[in-house]
Amino acid sequence: MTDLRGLMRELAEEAPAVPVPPDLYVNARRNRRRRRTAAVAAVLAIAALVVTGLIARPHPQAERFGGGEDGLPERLLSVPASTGANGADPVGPAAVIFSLGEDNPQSDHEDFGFAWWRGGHTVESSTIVARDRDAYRIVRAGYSTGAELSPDGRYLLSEGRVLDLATGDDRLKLRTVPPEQSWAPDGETPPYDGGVQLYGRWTEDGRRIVAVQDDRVVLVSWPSGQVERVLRTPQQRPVDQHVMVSPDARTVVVQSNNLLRGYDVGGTLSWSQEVSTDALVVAGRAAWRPDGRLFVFDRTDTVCDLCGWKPGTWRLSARDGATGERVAAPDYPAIRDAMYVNVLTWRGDVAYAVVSYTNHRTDDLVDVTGTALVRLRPGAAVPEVVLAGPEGTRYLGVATDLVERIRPLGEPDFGHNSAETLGLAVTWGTCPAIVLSVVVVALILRRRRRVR
Amino acid sequence: MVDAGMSGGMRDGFEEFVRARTGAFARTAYLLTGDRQHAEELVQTALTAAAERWTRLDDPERYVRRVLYTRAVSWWRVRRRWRSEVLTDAPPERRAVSRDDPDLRIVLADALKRLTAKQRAVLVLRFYEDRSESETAEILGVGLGTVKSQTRDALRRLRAVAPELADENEEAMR
Repeated sequence: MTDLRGLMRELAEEAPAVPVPPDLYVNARRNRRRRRTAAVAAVLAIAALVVTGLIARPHPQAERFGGGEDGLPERLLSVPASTGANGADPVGPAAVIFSLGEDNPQSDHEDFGFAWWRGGHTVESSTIVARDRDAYRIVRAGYSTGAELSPDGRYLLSEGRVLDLATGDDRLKLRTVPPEQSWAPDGETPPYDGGVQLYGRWTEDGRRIVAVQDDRVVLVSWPSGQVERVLRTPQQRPVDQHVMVSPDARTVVVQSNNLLRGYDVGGTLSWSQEVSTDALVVAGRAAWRPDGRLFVFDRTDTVCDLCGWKPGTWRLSARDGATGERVAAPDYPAIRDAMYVNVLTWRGDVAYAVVSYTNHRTDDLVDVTGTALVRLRPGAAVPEVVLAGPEGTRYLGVATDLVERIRPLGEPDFGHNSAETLGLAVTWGTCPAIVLSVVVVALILRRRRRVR
Repeated sequence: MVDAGMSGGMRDGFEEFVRARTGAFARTAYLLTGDRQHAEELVQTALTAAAERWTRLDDPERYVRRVLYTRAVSWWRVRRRWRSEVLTDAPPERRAVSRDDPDLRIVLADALKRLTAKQRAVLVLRFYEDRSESETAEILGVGLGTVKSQTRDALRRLRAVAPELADENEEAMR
C-alpha cells in the first residue's frame, strides 16, 4: 500500500456482501407498473373531480325564478374580478346597474391592455344586480357600457345597442338616418346605417328612446324599434347637449350650444332662450312632467374656473314647456358638490335622481368619487340617499319602478367567469410554462443520453 | 407465450448481471457511504432502479453506477446519514499511526467519513475507479471545474483530518 489508490482498493475489499432478493426483478417491474397505474388513476380522478365540480356547481339560473321579492338592494357591493358575465350567465332583468369606469372588472383599458379572451374591446364595463336577489354580473357593450337602464330593468341602452339583460342578446341596434332626411312624421323613415355611433336615452315611461345624431333628434318607439320622428335642430351641436321629449311626444326640448329651445312635433321652433349650461341644465330623463312643466337644474356655486365643466350646487326649478318661462315649483333641496345630476323618475312631487359627486380636484369624470340615487323631497333640507354605489362608482342606473322598494341584503352571488380566470392564467402562465417546458425537456434529453 | 419467453429472457439477463456485478457495486457503495448498511441499501436501490428500466437500458453497468453516485450525494440520503452521526466542535483525537501501520485503511475510512458526499464521490471516481476528470464530471452531472475544485478540496481536507495519509495524498496529487 503505497498510495491513495491502493489504500482505497484495500478499504473497498471490506465492503459487505449485498444480498439480492431472488424476486427483485419481478417485484421491481410490478411496483413500477402499479405506480404508473396509480399515477394515471390519480390524474383521471382529479380530472373527473374537476369536471364533476364544474357540472354540479349550483347554477344561478336554477334559482332565478324562485328568488325573493323584487326591489333595489339595500346596499351595493364591490365585485371580484372573476364575476360572471351576464352574456354567458344572465341574471337580468336588473334592479341596478353601476360602473367604476375603467376600474370596473373586465374592462379593457383605453388603447392598451386588450384582453384577448374577451369578445370586443370595452373600455368601461358595467355591473348589474338582479331584481329579486343579490346576483351580480358584468355587462360589456361597445366602448363604454354605461348605465342607461330601461325603467323595468330589462334592457340596457348602450352606444346605440339595446341589450336584453334577461337573455344577454342584442334586441336592437339604433341606426343613423341619412343627412338629407329632416323628419318623418309618418314613421316611415328608412333606417340608415351611416357608420355614425348613435347615443340614446330612455324616456321616463320606457316607451321611447331619444337618440341624437349631430343636429338631429331621433325618436324611436319601444319595443317596436320603429323610428317615430327625426327632428332637425340646426343650432344643435354635438357637444354638451341635453335632449328630452315630453311624455306625450308632442314637444322636444333641446339644450345645446348655450341655447335652450322647445320644438313642436312638426319640427317648428316654439321658443328659444339663451342660457349657459353653467347656469342651467335640463333635469334629465324625467325632466318633463305630464302637466307640461319642464324641470331644469339651476346651477350655482360652480367652482374650478377655467377647467371646463364645473362641479357645483344644483337645485330643481320648473319652466313652462310651451313657452320656456319660469313657473312655480316646490322648494327642492340643493345638491352640493355634484358633477352631474339626472332625474330618473317621480313619485308625486318627489323626484328621484342619480347624482355624481366630485372631489373638486379637476374637471372630468375621472374626478367623480361616488354616485348615488337620491330622493329629492319638496321642503327637505338635503337630498336623501336611497342607494349609493361602491366607492369610485361613476355611473349608476336603477329600474325606476323599484325606487320605493328596498329589499334587505342577501347572500351575494357573483357567479364565475371561467374564461376570465383561464385567460388570465394562460396569459400569466405562458412564459413560465414555456421556460419550464424547455428546461424539463432539456433535462429529460440529457438524462436519457446519460442513461443509455 | 412469446412475450412470456421474452420476459423470462430479460429476467435471466438481469439475474446474470446481478450475479456478476453486485460485488463490484458493493465495493464502490461502501467507499461512497463509509457504512456497510448504507452500502447494502444503496446497491439494492440501484439494482431495483435498473430492474424497473431493464428492457430500455443499453448500458446497465453505466446506469447502475450513475444511480450509485447520484443517490449517494442526494440530499435526503446525506441527511439520513447525518442523523446517525454525532457532530462535535473538534475532530476526535487520533492515535499516532505510522506509514507502515496496517490499520492505515481504517484511518482512511475514518477520514473519508469527514468529507462531504460529493468530495467522497469525486475521490472514489478519480482514485478508485481511475476515471478521468471529464468522465467524473459526466457521471456526477457537474462541470469539469467543479470536479477539479472538489478534488482539490477533498485532498486538502484529507490532509487536515488525517495527516498520516499525507504521503499518499502527495502521490495522488502528483
